Amino acid sequence: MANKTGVYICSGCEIGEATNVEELQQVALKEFRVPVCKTHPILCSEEGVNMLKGDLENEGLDRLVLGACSRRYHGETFDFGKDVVVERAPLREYVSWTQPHQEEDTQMMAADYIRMHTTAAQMKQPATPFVQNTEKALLVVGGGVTGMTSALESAKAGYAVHLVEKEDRLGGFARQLHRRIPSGSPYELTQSPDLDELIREVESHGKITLHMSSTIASIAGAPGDFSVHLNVNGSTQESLRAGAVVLASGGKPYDASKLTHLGIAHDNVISSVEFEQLAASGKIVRKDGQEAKSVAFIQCAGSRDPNHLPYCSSFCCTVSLKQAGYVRESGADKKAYVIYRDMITPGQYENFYRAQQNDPGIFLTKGDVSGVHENADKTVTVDVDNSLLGEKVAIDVDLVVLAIGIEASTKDDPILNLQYRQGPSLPDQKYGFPDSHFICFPYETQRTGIFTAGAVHQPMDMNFSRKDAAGAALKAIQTVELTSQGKTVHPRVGDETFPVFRLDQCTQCKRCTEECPFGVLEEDEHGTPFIHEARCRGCGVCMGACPVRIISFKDYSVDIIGDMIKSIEIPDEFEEKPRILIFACENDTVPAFDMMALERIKYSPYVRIIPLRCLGGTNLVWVSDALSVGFDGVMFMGCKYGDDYQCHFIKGSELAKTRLSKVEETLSRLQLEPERIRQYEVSMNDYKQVAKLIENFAADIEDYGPNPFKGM
Amino acid sequence: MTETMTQPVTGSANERVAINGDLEFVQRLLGSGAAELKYCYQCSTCTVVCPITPDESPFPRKEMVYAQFGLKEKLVSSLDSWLCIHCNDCSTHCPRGAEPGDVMNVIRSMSIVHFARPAFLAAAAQSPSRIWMLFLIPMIIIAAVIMGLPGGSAFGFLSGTIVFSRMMPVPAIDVVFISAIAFAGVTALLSILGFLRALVVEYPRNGGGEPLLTAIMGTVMDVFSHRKFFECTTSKSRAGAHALVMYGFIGLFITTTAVGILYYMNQFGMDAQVSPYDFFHPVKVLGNVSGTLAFLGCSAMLARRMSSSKSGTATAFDWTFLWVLFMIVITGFGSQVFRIFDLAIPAYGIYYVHLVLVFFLLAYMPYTKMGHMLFRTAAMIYARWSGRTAVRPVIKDGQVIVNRSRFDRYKR
Repeated sequence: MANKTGVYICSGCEIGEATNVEELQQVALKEFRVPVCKTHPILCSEEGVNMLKGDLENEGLDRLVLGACSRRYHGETFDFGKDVVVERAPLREYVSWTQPHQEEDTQMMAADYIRMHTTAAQMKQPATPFVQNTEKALLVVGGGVTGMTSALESAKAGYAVHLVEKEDRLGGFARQLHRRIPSGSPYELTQSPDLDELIREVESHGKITLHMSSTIASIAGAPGDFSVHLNVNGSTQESLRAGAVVLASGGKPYDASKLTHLGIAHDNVISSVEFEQLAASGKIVRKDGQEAKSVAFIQCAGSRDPNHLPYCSSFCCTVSLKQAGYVRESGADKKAYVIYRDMITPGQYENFYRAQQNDPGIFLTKGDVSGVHENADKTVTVDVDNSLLGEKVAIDVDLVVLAIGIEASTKDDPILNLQYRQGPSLPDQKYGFPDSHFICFPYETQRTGIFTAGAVHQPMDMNFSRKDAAGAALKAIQTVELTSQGKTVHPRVGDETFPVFRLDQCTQCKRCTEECPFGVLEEDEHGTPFIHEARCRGCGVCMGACPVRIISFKDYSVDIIGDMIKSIEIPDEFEEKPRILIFACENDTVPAFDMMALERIKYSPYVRIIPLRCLGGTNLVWVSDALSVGFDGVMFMGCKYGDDYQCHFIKGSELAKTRLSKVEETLSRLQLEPERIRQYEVSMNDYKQVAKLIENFAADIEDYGPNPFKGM
Repeated sequence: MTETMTQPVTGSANERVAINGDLEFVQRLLGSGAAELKYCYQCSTCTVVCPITPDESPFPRKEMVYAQFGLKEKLVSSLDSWLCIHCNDCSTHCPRGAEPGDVMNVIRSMSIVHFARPAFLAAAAQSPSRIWMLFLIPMIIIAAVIMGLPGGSAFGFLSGTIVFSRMMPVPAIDVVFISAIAFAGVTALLSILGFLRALVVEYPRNGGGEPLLTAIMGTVMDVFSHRKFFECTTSKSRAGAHALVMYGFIGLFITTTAVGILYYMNQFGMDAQVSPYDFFHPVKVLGNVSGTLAFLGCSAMLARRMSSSKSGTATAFDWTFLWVLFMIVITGFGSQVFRIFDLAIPAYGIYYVHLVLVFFLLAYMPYTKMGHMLFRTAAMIYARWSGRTAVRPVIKDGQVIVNRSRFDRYKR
């Protein structure tokens, strides 16, 4: 294969003023002997792009190094088709906008970026998509409001849908509702559950195939090619093929029988679900059939409670306000008490709160329920402490309703029964919900092509569920479309590179299969990994995990990064010329560096930055590469981890931390300060602090003195 | 061993207060000027900005909850609501428009109805449909006295020089009005005793209380200086108007008393002028100056009530009282003017109305808004005596700076 690289240096955006562009051209021409090296005042202009196009054609180039702006800009401008490798050396962000102009250090820095990226360009191969026979039909699991909405939205978008429902009729939990909380402006009045219309639409839509009284026996395969087996009526089996899955199996109300501290054992203490059924039956009565004249609603019953559900289910307050309305509708003299810890009525439900609050017969107070006692006449006394009424109070009522929260339906039942090496269920994240990244990608799970919507995704009511259902349907559609083009899905949308294994050297250590966050890799009977490309999101965690370094991507590998490090010219003198290598996560830290550039925040000229797809792809050999070429320190900058992690790939930063902990020992053995290698958690909006981190690190390195391997 | 036995939960019932939401009373409050009461969501902003919130009780938020629950007993004996001078800082800052200032106002009128004796008069004073009866009583009494006076035709006074004492001689006035004051005094005493009894239960005296005499003196100083009133930020001008009205009517009361004293001095042969006086007679001057002050004060109050929503919404209870005050001043001046212009029928007619209104003011003192003089003064003395102290909000450049620690304390 031809390997003809052209290096182009843009002198716009202050690059020409900051550096001696001619000298940079000499680096490419003399050190790399590239056949073409040109400069242009505005490379992204039509003229500049035409120059590149002309050279690609006339000079037969297949690789371009553009010493211009960050790759986060002008991606389309510099896209010359999949046969041309385009490598971006961000001289604007990393040099001209963040370094003093016309200084020796600035020039050395720019030259190094030309070296690093020319090296990389020469090693990269054009990507090839993963081609398979893609099934575009979608599987929606659950025939409740969420599932029906998801199916309908997908069908309306033109996709065939298989809707699987375990019961013999559609509607799910919503069938039990008497009224529903308001779904639209002015958000003040309850509404009829009104499922008939939705059910009719779903049943009559030509693109929706209903599978009633069915459960999922198994799902195998990958996006674009899921092979699904159904259990129908508990006996017969049916199979179908689907391209992506929306799990809409809902939530399950928390088991109220566990709430003995709130008197659930008493006759006239019931859960909010039971109360809803009572209201639907038309009579709000006590257990003995007598009319309930006063009803107390106890909020956070088993919610925000470390002994039960530690979280807030977000809808129970609105539900109790709705149910307090049922009490008031049953008679003008009826009274409803609502005892809450914090009234949580998200968004427009505030209007509903106001409307219900305005009813003189709905008595609301903040307070902690300290006891629920049954009296001789079977009425119930609720003891409330810390109430707004100022004292410890006791409220006598005919009926007590415990406003219970919700758990994911996947809690004790995998439902999807995935035939994955990693197990049959979707991996749980916080609080047992199978969400993969709640901030950035709300419908994602840790299994590519499988999305959650509605209450199985996170606690939510019917209105939010409908929106969630539509969102998840769109994600499922994106998946089948991208997969059919052989491209990866979010967050590296459209990437066409997949891990390639040199299996002849594999030691079957299984680290890659263990560490892959998305269950992409499986093993054959010998323990040799094999890949489901369509499940891959391209993070490179497997590449970092592999101790024998046999995993690589066509444009991203241990060798490419290693050679980029080795291409950097390290001056022998340490005084005033230390060198610090920064590995920067492309999701958080690279944008942070770009933002620093936009704000012209200056930082040390001694750093050299290499972007990584994910810090989880860190291979320890890079540390020894860096130290052996003479770097005095290495900074790893990735996203925040822990409970509110920001990693696009679940726990890349955490994996890096684990791996780097093993380096410490080695460094100590080599009589090197382990602190020369450090990891930082940097989120995008921390960009103003990054320069300070670098400054502090550089100061520490100065204290340690030069890397003793420098110049060896 | 008995000592290891744990107390049953019900054992603490003596400190647990049974609460029963009183739907009917809530509806009554809503219908008597506290229409926005239910908007309150207990955020405590009112308490944070309130200049009279006591150290240990989140006023007026707590009263707002009581009102939402219809806890009548708690509300009518709320000491704090009587210390409230309706400065309306709370309503101004309320994020929900629940108008706590107005709610406190309604609570005070409910308090008057609850404690004032005899109760039926109090109820009539508060009822827009029955209040006419209270005017009818003095109309009949005064008319009867005029008509029934011995000596001469009933309307004989219409001819000749206009001298008001020819229509209603000073002794007759004294009999009627001293009786009215005596009646008011007795009923006031009965009313205030009931109120104090409730306060003693709800607000036991703590160690920080002042001796009774000091408390009384301090309160008197506060009343005459309007010290607290002038601290209002939202409606500072109300304090000025109130001071004008108060001092104006005190002046008018002294004037009337002086007229009586001079009359009796004259009767006993001393050298004292009787009314009508010369224009520059000290009593005359005092009367006219006081009347002018009262006129200005009443006008300011009426103008404010009619134009501004910042000072809160007035109820019929507020309006009646204010108009009575205003009309007393107007009829007083009116009588004088018509007398000077020698128009007998309007002069005597207006003087009659004047007498009826003054009777209303004095006799029904405990039932009308005038009752605030009684209840508020009692509450102020009680607060000092019982050691109830307020926490001041931090006010900087006219802005209330939220005091975090204070807010946290009252969150629950």
